[in-house]
Amino acid sequence: MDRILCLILFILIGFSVSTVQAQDSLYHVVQKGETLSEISLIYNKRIDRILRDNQLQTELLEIGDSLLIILPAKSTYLLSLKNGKISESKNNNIDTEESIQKSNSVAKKSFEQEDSIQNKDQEINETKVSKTDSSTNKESLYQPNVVESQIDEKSGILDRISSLYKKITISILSYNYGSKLAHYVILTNLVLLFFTLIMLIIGFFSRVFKVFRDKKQKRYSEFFENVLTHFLFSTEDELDDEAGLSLRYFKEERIAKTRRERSWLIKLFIQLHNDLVGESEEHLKSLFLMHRLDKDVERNLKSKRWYVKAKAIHEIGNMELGNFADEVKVNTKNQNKEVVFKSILTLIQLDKKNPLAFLSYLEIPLTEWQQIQLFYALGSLDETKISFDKNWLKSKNDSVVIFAIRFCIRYNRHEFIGLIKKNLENPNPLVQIEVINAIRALGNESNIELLKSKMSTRFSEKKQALIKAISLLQMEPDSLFFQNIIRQSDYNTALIAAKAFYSIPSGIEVLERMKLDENEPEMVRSIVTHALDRRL
Amino acid sequence: MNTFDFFQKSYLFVNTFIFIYAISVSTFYILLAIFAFKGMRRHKLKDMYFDQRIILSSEYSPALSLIAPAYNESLTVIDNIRSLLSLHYSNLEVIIVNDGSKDDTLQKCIETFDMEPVDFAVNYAVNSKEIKTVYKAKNPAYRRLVLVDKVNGGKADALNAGINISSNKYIVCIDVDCIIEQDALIHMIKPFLESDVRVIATGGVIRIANECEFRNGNIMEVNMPKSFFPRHQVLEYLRAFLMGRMAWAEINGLMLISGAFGVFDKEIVIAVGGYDHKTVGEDMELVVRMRKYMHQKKEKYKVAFVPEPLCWTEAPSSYKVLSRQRNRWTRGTIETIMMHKDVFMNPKYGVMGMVSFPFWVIFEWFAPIIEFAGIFLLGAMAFFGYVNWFYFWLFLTLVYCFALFISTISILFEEFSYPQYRKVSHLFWLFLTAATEPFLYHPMNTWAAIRGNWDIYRGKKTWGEMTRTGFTNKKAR
Repeated sequence: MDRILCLILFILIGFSVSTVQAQDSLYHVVQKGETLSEISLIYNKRIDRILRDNQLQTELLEIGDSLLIILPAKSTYLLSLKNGKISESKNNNIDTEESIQKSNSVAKKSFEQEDSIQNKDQEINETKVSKTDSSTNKESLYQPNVVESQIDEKSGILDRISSLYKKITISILSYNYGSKLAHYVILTNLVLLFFTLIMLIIGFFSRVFKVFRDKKQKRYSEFFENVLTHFLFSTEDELDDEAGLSLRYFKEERIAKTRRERSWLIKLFIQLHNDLVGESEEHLKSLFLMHRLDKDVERNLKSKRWYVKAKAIHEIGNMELGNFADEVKVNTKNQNKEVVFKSILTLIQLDKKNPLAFLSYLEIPLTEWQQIQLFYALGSLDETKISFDKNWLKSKNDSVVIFAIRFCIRYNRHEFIGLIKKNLENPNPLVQIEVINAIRALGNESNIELLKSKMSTRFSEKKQALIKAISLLQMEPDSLFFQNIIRQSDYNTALIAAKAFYSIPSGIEVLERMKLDENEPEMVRSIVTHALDRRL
Repeated sequence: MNTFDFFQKSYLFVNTFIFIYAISVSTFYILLAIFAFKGMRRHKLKDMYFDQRIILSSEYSPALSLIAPAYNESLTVIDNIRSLLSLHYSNLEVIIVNDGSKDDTLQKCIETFDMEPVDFAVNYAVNSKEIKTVYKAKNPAYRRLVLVDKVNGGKADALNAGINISSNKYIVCIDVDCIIEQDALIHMIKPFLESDVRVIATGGVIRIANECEFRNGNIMEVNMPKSFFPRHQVLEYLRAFLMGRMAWAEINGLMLISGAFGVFDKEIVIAVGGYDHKTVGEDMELVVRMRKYMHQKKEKYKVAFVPEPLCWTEAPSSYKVLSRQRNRWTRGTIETIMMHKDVFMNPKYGVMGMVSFPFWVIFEWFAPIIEFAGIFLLGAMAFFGYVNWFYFWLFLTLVYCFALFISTISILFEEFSYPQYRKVSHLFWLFLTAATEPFLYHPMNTWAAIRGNWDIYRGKKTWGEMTRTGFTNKKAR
């Protein structure tokens, strides 16, 4: 089923399209004094063929009649070529050479007038009867548009479709379109080939470039890594000759001159910085500053492209470049959401005062991923210093409430339990579940009644959270409560309840009894057995 | 109206129709390329400073259950399980479903990982055949691993059994013979966390593993397959995944997540009743059903796609196997379309109803048929002398140039997204493949699709018979 884009299928559609164009045709408007034999001569077509194509019984023509003339397509195409390649005419389907020359002269005339007259449908007629008055000629021309306009405005949709269809088929059939089509096809071909070629050249160049760049990058990275480890972990006199030399080069800034090399260096620094703590971390940072790599970061920070900016902010955060804090702060008002969030994370990493203040006026929801990133960034800070605004717990933005509750759980902010509990009335079940988790983590036995009162919910996830919380907070397990849940709930909830009950010391006994009790339903017994299996 | 006239008119009709059809296919492909470019660019820029450790270390990362059905995999199953156990993800459960294998797949697993039966209370939340025993390893080092032994029922049934056993919020469905990159799950779970609307499923890119070097379930060196069929499939997969799926995900119209690698929201999978046993295109059918369900619930949702190369699979290397696979894909597509006819041009189903579903019907199902009919017609017309050979060659070059154009775009996508084919010669081979594909590989593919259509037509009465055909030869879809 990966056939999406099995585009080449219509290589054969091309085959069939081509059958359409077996013939080209045009309409000839009969002029004063013209006879059928004259017309037959002009187009080199037998009289009986013309009659049959037009379903005519007699040879009598009236002035202004339009006759359908069907010609082999190639000849019309050749006709339309400006320079009229007569040399090719030997190969084409028209019977005599004389005739093609005749048609060519017609085509030449038509091209002479091409610039002045826009409507190509008119050309052939215009040129052919140059003796007659051209103004009357124009009126008698066959025009597909007229056909359509003649249709009654009130006519049904079927008529409209049929008229549209007629129009399309006529335009495919009509002489000028036919020749134009060939032009267009060749033109499209050339354009497509041109772009393919361009893309191919781009692809190959990019590949060659990347092969060299990757090799160079690998060499550089290995070299730098070697130097940096030496710098960080050995004293000067311990260095063997080679490494010592490299380090001297490095210190003298004889390497990493181009912008790309410097960006590799920054990347390497960040990698190492993430793996290091303590004194080496400080060393690394001083080396970073010594090499003025912060200048590169600064330049990127001023970039107009959001991703360059975001990357620079990311680098500031990871290298803990405190002096850029103000500029990062400006970016919290950036138009791009990514940049804004990255700036916020970076401010946390830079240990700035009250970095979470944005939560107070945040209107869009925080995604789960953003919350995860925030907690990760907060993880590196001293938890006593993180300021917490209790108004977040009252926020209208549910995701902020969830974040605040998780924050309280994580940093054991027992003092806010009262405020958290108020959110149990929040209509959003996700918030309710978070509140229940908070009660489980921060509350005490006195909350059990409150939790039990919420048990009549239809959200099984909430129910499961409640059961877990109750089992953890309860000192004296209420066997009947658990037994009832196991018996009455759906599979998942019952299993959770049984497992929660199992974790309470006296619960095991009751469960063992339930397992052996033949009065219990089969399902309950198997769930209890499952919960009792230590390996699961 | 005489006979000649009638001929001419019907001629004209067929030709006009095919002309319009061809134009609309090309327009669609170009639009897809544009959307894919947009999506790819955004994904790449966002990915630039993605730190995997954040997801790995977070307590809020969701728990995953990985389900790998195995049927007569005795030779490779142990290596594959080891590779799955070493995936980087902290909260993961690996469920191997032995679908009633006739060889010693089960015994091998039990012996190697020292497993024992446990008292598992199975909840048949979705329909599956009887689950006989659930095994767990005695060694706590393998505590992630769960082995399920069940009565044979086909791939869809095995996956359903895995869903019944799984205990986590998201399920990862894979083919056991696929090689999953170690950090694949981290990338695959990210769309679920990032999005502000509910993500019901995420699909990943499948790459061709033929002639690549592997060690301990990790890819060491990527090679361009030299043999004919795998090489063409490399290009085909690049087009299908980097251009097709990426674009569909961008406009939220993705209807197919390969059975070889996809992550689903279990709650919704269970709500719609899991995989359907009755079709060989169970992977596509499930996504369509899940999407329908979300539309009926009137909830906003998304089906996401991750363009990083995360999953490698062995592609068929002989025409016989390939044609069987394509035949099956065709049948799967048709069955899915027939099962959900009501989605077609139904504004109730949003982008799926108005764009992607009609696309599948018109350009995926009908295309091989029209193409085949085209050859037929061409032959007949040539016989009667109606073919204008001048225009024939003109149009032939046109479609050829267009095919080359689109394939080159997809090669460029590969080059500028996450290039795996790193040698200059690889690029050369890819382009050469693109140049020869229309003449050799493509007609074979079309023929297989026609046979699939024919099988559907003939096999309508024996619907049930087809249940198991898919699993004997399971490859990346």
